[in-house]
Amino acid sequence: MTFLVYAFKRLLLALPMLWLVLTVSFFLVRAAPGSPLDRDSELPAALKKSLAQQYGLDRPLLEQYVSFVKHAAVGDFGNSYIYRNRSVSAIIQEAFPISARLGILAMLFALSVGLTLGVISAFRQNTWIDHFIMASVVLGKSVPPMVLAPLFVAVFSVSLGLLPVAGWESGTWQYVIGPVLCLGLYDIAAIARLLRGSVLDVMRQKYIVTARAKGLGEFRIIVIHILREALMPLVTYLAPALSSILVGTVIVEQVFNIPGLGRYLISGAINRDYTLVLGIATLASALVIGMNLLADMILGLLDPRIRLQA
Amino acid sequence: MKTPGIHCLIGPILLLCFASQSMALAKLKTFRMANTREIESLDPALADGNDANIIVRGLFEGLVSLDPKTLQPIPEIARSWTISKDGLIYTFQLDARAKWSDGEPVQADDFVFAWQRNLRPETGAFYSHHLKTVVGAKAEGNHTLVVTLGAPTPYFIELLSFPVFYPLPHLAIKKFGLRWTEPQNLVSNGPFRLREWKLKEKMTLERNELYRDPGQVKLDRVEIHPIEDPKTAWNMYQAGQVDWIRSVPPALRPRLKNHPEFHSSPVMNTVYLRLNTQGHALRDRRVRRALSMALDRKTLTERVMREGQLPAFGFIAKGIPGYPWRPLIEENIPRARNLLAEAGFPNGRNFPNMTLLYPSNPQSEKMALAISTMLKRALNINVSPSGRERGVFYDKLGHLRYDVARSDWTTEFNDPKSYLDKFTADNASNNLTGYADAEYQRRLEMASRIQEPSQRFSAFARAEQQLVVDDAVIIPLYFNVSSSLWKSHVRGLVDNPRLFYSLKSLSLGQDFRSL
Repeated sequence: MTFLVYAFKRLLLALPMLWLVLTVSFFLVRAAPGSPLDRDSELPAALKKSLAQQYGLDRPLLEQYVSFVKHAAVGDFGNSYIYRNRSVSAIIQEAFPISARLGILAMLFALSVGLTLGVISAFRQNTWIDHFIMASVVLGKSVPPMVLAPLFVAVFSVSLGLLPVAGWESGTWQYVIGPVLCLGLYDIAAIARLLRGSVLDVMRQKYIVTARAKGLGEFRIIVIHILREALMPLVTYLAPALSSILVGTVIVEQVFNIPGLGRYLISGAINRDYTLVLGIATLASALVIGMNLLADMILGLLDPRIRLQA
Repeated sequence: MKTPGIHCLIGPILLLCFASQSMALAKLKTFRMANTREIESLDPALADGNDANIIVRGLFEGLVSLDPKTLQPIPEIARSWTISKDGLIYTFQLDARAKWSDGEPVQADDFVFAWQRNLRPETGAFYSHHLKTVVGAKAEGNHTLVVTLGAPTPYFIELLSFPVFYPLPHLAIKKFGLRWTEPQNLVSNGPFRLREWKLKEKMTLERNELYRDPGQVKLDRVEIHPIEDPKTAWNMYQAGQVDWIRSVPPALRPRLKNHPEFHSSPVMNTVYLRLNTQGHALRDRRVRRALSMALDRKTLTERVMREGQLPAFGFIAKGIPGYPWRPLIEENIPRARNLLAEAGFPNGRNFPNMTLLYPSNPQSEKMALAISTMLKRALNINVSPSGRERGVFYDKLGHLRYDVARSDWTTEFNDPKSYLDKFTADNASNNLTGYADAEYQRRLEMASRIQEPSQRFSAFARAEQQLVVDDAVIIPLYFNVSSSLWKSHVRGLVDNPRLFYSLKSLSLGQDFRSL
C-alpha cells in the first residue's frame, strides 16, 4: 500500500513537470529568429501569407500555444511544416524505433563491457590491471562520438572494407555494428567507474567479511552478496542515460546516416519545423521524466527507506 | 589479445554476406545516388530544389522536358504543338499512349485539373507564380490541350518542364487527399514508379511497366539515399555504396580536381551581395557603386574560392542563347575612392561601421573575410563579416536588418526575366533590398512586351545595367561551379549549367558490378 501511494505521488509530480518542459520548449522554439517559411529559394509573398495561414502562424502566439497544448495532450502534433504530407506522429513512429533499437543495443553493449571491467578493476584494486582498465575507459570517454565515429568509419569501413560506411537498410546487422560500438563506448567508462566504486564500497561492509569468514566461495560472494548491492547506484545512472540514448544521438546518426530521431531533430531545428521539433522534444522529455519515475519506483521497491522518506 | 581472433572471424562472415547479397542483385541494373537531403514531398506541386526535382522527374512527366545536353525543350507527353501568331494560344497534341501507373489514361483533363489545383493558395505550390502566365486551359477531347496566355511568353514551352505544370492523377488525389503521395497510394506517369520510401533512409524507384515509351528506360531500379553530411556521402561513394554524389566536401574539391570521376562545370548560379538601399550610407548609390568597383573578383575566385568559379561582372550568368552578355562592372579603385569622397566619405572618413551578413558555412566565411579585407584596403572602410545561423540570417534579411548580405540566385528558367524580376518593387519578398525604382520597373515591363528576341534581350540588358551598375543595388561576385562524382560505369549523366538531370537518360555500362 505504501508503495502505491508513493508511486501515485511521484506520478502526480511528473505530469506538471512535463507540462512545464513543454511550455518552455514551445516558447524557446518560437523565440528563435526565422520561420519555417524561410527557404533557400525565396517564396513569393502571397504564398508565404497563405502558408502562414494554413499553419496557423498568423494567429497570436498565446492562441497557438493553447492549441499546441490541447493537441499535444492527445499526442497530436499536426503535420510537419517541411514534410508537408506527413504527420509528426507518423514520422516519430517511423524514426523512434530505429533510435531506440540502436540505443538499447548500445546500452546492452556498454553494460556488459562496463560491468565486467568495473568488477575486475575493483577486485584487482591498485594493481596494473586496475590502472590499465581505468586509464583506457577514461581515454574512451574522452574521445567524443564526433571524433570516434568518423575515425571508426575511416578505419573499419573505408580502409579495411569490413563494414558498410553508412546507411541503415532496415537495421541489417552489418549496418548496426558501427553505430552501436560508437554509441556504447561512451557509457562504458561511466558504468565501469561507477561500479568499481560501489563494489569497493560494498566489499568493505561487515557482512562480506562475515560471508568470507563463513567460508563461502568467492564466486558466490561476488555475485550474490556484492553485486546485488553494488548495482543499486547503477539504476539511478541508467535511467537518464538510457532516455537520452533512446531518442537518438545527433552525431552518430549523422555520420552513419541513420534515419533516427536525432537527424530529424537537427533538420527540424535548422528549418524551424516547429511541429516536428516540439513533437520530438515532447517525446524526449516524456522519456526522461518517465525513466526517472521508473528508476524511483525500482529504487523504492528495492529499498523501503527511500519510499518512507518521500 | 582477443582482437585478432575476432577480426579473423568477422572479415570472412561479412564478405560472405555481401557476396550473397550481390548475387541476388546482380541481375538488376540498380543506379544508386546520394541526395543532399530528404525531400519534402513527392507531390510535383510541392517539390522544391534539385534533390526533389530529380526524383519527381523520374516518377512523373509533363508536356515537355529539357534535353540535359542542350537544355532545349524536348517533347514528352506533348507530341507536338502549335502557337498562334500573336503568341497567346498554344495547342498541344498529347501522346495517346500516356498512362497513369494505375492503368488510367493520362488525358488533357489531368493537366487542367492539376493547374487549377496548384493555383489554389491552400495547395501551397512553391512555383505557382509560373502558372499565372496562363489565363485559360481547356481540354478539347482527350488528347488536345488548348492553353491561353495573358501575354506572349517566349520561354513558356521551357516553363512547362517545371513539375508544377505536370498533370496529376485527380482520382488518387480526390481519394487520398494529402496522403496521396504515400508509397501505397502514389499514382504516377513517369518512366519509374515508387517502390519504397523510407524517410531519411532510402527511396527506391523501379521501372514503370506502363510507361508510354518503355524502350527509353534503361535502369531497372534507382535508389536514392538522402545524406545531409557531405563527408558521409563521400565515404559511401569511396566504399562503392553509391554511384553518384552531388555534394563533394568543399575541403576535398581542390584535391579531387584530377580525379577521373570528379566533374565540375559552371552553373547558372550567381553569388552576389545584397545591399540594404534604405541603410544610412548605402542609400547613396555612389557609395554602393564604390563598394562594387573596389572589389577584385579575379583574386576572389582564383585565390580565395579556388574551385573554378568565374568572376561575375554582371548578374546574369552566361548561357542564355542570344543574350548580349558582356562584363558590366568596371573594377577601378581610384574611381571607387572618388565616388566615396563625393558621397561625403573621403578616404573612408566618417563611414559607418558595417557588417557583411552571411549564413554560417565555410565557403561563405572565406568569401566574407576576403571581401571585408578588400574593402578595407581599397576604401579604408570597415565592413566586418558576420556569420549567422540560417534562420537568423533569413530573419535579418527579411526584415532588412542588415547592411550587406551574401545571397545567391539560380535561374528558374533560361531568360533574363528570371533574374531581373527579383528586384522590382512589387516583388518585396524576393527583393529584400528596399529598392523600388519606377524606371527599373518600367524598363522591365517594356522589355517583356517586346516580341522580337534580340530587341527584347537588349531591353533587358539595359535593365541589368541599371540594376548592377547605375544603381548598384546588388554586387555580383562570381558564378558558381557544380562539383560531383560519378562512377565510370554510369552512362548518360551530363553536367549542365542548370543542373537539370534526367534519370530516364541514364544507363549502366558493361563495367557495372552491383556491390
